[in-house]
Amino acid sequence: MLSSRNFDQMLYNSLMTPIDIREILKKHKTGWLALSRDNKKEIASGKTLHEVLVKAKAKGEENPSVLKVPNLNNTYVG
Amino acid sequence: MDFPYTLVTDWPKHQARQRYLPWINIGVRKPSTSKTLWPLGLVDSGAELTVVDQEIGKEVGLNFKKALKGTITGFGGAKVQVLMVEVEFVIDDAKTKTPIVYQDFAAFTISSFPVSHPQQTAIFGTVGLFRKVTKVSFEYPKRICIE
Repeated sequence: MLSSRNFDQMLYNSLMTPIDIREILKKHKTGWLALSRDNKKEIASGKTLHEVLVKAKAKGEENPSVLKVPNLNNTYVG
Repeated sequence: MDFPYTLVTDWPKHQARQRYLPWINIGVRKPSTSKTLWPLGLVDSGAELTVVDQEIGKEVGLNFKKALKGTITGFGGAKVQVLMVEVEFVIDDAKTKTPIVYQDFAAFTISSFPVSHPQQTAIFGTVGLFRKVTKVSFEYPKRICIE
């Protein structure tokens, strides 16, 4: 029988590469994140968007992807 | 243009579960300016409006003095105060030569998104996305196509 974990892995392997932000989100509970434009790498984190943009710019990333840490304990229906 | 789904982990009953969510980057800027921010937001065909965290609006220099104030309601009845202003959106998958650029309204939260909501950055809905492009299709969990 196919376990849930094996099914997840099989599905993952069969896709065009998804944006995988699992490891990045694992490290943060709140605040803003600046990621590389392909969302593969964390550039900066901070309490405010402005703070992470300043930090990202200092690291040479002028146009990062930005994300406020999501609350993934809930499921959305809209 | 094709965009992959975003893979996250959530923890129902303390068990790890992988979820593929239609979260993509769409650029937001003040019309006729160049400073563009790229929120990673939810593409939501069920949302009537595009809703964006207010910090993004402030950061791109939007003027909210003449904004239309409103209240939006989600499933379950949560109400959020927003300010509606016109912005410029940019859709760019980094592979296509010419990005899709258009102006439309976006609702900026007066405070933050409700804390219970999984998406805390942006929701791209009918006004702000779907009515301005020719086609948005979802091929779960492989890709979201916007033309």
